[in-house]
Amino acid sequence: MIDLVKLSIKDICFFVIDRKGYITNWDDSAAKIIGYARSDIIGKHFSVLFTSDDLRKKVPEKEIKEAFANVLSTRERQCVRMDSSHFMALCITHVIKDENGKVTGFMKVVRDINEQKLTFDALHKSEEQFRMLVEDIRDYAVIMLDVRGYITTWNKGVEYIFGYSQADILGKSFKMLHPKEYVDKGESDRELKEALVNSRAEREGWRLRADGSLFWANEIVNAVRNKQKRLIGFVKIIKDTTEAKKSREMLKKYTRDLELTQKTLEMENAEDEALLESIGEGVVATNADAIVVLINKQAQMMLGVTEEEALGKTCTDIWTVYDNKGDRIPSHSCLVPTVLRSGKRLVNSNYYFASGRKYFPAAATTTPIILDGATIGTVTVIRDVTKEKEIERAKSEFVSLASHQLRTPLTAIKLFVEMLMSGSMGNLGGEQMDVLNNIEQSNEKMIQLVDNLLNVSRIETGKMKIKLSTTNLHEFIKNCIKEAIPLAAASKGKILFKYKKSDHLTIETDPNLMRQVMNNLLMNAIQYSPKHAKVWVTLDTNKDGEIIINVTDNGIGIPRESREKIFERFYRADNALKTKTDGTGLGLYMCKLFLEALGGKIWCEPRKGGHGASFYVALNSKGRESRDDNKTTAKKNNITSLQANKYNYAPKI
Amino acid sequence: MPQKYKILLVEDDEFVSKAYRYFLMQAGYKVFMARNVREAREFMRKESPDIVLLDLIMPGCNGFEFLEELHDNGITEKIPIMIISNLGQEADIAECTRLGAADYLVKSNFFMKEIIEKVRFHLERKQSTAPVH
Repeated sequence: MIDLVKLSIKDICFFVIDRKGYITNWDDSAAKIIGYARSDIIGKHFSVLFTSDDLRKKVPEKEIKEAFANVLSTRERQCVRMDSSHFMALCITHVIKDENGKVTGFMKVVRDINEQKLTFDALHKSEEQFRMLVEDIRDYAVIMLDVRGYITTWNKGVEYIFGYSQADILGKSFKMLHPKEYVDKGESDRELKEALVNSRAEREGWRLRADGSLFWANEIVNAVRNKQKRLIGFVKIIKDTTEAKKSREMLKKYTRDLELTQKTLEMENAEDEALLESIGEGVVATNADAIVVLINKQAQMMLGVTEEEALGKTCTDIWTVYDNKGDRIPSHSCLVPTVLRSGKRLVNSNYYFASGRKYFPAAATTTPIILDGATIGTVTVIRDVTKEKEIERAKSEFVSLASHQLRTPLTAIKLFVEMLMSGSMGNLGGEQMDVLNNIEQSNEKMIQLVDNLLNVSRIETGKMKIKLSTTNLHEFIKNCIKEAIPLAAASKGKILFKYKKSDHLTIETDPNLMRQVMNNLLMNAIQYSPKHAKVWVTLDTNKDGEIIINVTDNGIGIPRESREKIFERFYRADNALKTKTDGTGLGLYMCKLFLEALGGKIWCEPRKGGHGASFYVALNSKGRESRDDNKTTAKKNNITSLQANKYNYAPKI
Repeated sequence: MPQKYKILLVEDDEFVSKAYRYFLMQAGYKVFMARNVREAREFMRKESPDIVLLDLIMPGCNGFEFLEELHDNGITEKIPIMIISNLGQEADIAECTRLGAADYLVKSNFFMKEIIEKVRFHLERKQSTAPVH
C-alpha cells in the first residue's frame, strides 16, 4: 500500500472497501481523480462508482465475488465520478486479510486509462491503416533505403510490381530497379540528391522489373530524418502508371477524336442552320403548347415578323389562316393545334395572312414531333405558292388556248370535208369520196389526239372533274363491248364476255372515265391482234374484295421490258410501233390516270397459255369513296376548277 | 319554210364562219356574220336575231364578256345563245350556263348536221314558249 502511495502517479488512486463493499478508506488521490471528498464518500457503498449499466449487470457484486476468489483481480470498466462524468478505469482489487487469514476488506486501485485507451485505439487504428497501406497494397511499391541507398524494408507491392522476392532485393542498391542507361546517366543518384536537398523528389519514367521488362512509373522519394534532423534514409514510393499512361494517351486520343467530332458536329450544325436559313420554305417549330420555339429567316420574311416578335408566342397569334373563299379559319382548326391534338401529319394549301402585313397563298405541312409516344411539338413548313399558282394558271390557260387554237383549223377542215361530202357542191365519184373519207378520218384522229392531250393535261393539273354515279358493271361492260363490236367485226374478230350471273356488281364510279378506259383496252386488244382476233373480257372479284376486269387478247403481246413502260406518257412498245404506226402513246397512260383518280389500278401480264396480252383493272368494290386520299384530291380539284374560272384570255394569235 | 329565221353568227375564224354560213344558208336560215363582239353589238342594236351562235375566243372583247352583257340586259331570256367554241373545259361550260347560254357545243366534236339539228331544236323551243303576238 505504501508502495503505491509512493508511486504517486497522477492517474492512479486507491481506496478501501469492507467485505460488503462499503467504503472504509478514501485516499486523496481518489478524491482528486473520482471527485468525492473523503467525508462525502466514507460509509457509502462503492457501487456509486459504477455506471447504471454496470449496476444493472451487477458488476459490483461480481467484482466482490471475484475479489474473494482471487488474491488479485483486475477489471477494465467505466468509473463514475462525483459529477456523473465517467472514465475508463483499470480496477485492481487486492484482498486484505487479518492475521487469521480472514478477509476483512479489499483495496481497490483505480487507474484512469481513458487517455491511454484513446491514444492506443488511435494508434492501433493508424498503425493498422499504415500497415495495410504499406504492406498489403499492391499498387505501390514502398521501399526504405538507408543513407547509401541500400534497401532495408519493402512491402508486398514491390513483389507485385517489380517481381522481386524479399531475398532478392534486401540489402541491394535501389539502382537495380532502374534501367541501366538511367543509372549510367547518373539519374538515380540525382534522385536521392534532390530528395536530400528538397526533402522530396518526384520522377516519372521507365523502371526495370526482375524479368528485365520495363514499365512506366511514378516515383516519389522522401528523405527521412530523425529528431536531430540527421538523415537516416529514404522512403521510395513507386507506382506502376503504365495503365494510367495508356489511359492518359487514350484519353488524349479520345479528346482529340471528341474535339474532331464536335467540330464536325458544329460544322454540320452550322450547315443545318445554314440549310434551315437558306431553304425557300419557311420553317416554324412549336412546343406542345403551340408556342413558337424556332422560326427561320424565310418564315420571318413570309409572315412579316421578326424572330423576337415570334418566339414565345402562340403560333396562331402570329398568323391567321384563311381558306380559299377568303373565310377566316378559326384558331383551333388551324394546322398546329389540330396536329397537336391528333399527333398526325397534316398538309394544307390554305391562304395565310400574317400580322396584317402580308397575305399570300401558301401550302403548309405540319408534322408532329413525337417522343415516347407523346407529341412534344410540331414543325410547320410553309411554302409561298404565289408563283406556283401563277404558273398553274398560266399553264391552264395555255392548255386551254392551245387546244382551242389547234381545234379551230381542224373544225374548218371537218366542215369543208362535210360540205364536199354532202354533195351540195356537186356529186362526187367513188374515188373522190374515198379520198374525202381518208381526210375526214385523219382529221377525226387529230381531233381525238387534241382531246386526249387536253384530257391528260386536265388530269395532271387536277382539273378533271369526277362525276360519280352508281354503275352496274355487267350492263356497263356489255355496252362498251357493243360499241367495240363494229371494229372487231371489221377484222372478223370476236369479243367474248364471261361473268358469273349471280354477281350483281354495282359500283360508285365515273362511267364516262370508265368507258374511256374500257374503250382503250378493247380497241388495243383488237388493233394489236391479227385478223380473226379473239378478245376475252371477264368480270370477277378477288379475295381482297376488289373488282377485277380482265381484257385478254391473242395478239402480238407486250415485250417483258415494256410491261410497265406502256403506261407511261407517249411510250409505245417496239412491236406495237411496227404493227400500228398511228397510235398516240396516250391511251394506256390516260387509263392509268383515270383509274388512279377513281381509286383503282391497272396492270398487264402476258396471256396465260399463248401469245397475247392480258390487262387487269382492279376497282375497289366500295367505289372510290373508300379511298380517303382520292376523296381529298377530288375535293381539291373542285376548288381548283372554280378558282381557275377567270377569263384573262389572251387575244388570238 | 314557213319563216326565215335570222341567225347571228359571231365567229372570228374566216374558214369556220364561211363553212357555217354555207350550211346554215343551205338549211334555209338567214345568216348574219360578225367577226367580233363589236360587230355583233352593232348588229344587235339595229336588229333582233332569232338565235345567236357565239364563239368564245375572239380578239378584243371575248365571248364570255359579250354573253355577260346579254345576260345582264335580259337578252338571254329572249334569244337563245348557243356557244360554239373549241374551249371545252368544265369550268367554261359551267360559266356559260350560269350566264344563261342555251347550249354549249365544242365545235370540233360536232358535224354540221348535228349543229343544225341543235339550232332547229332551240328555235322550235323558243317558238313554243314565246308569247303570242
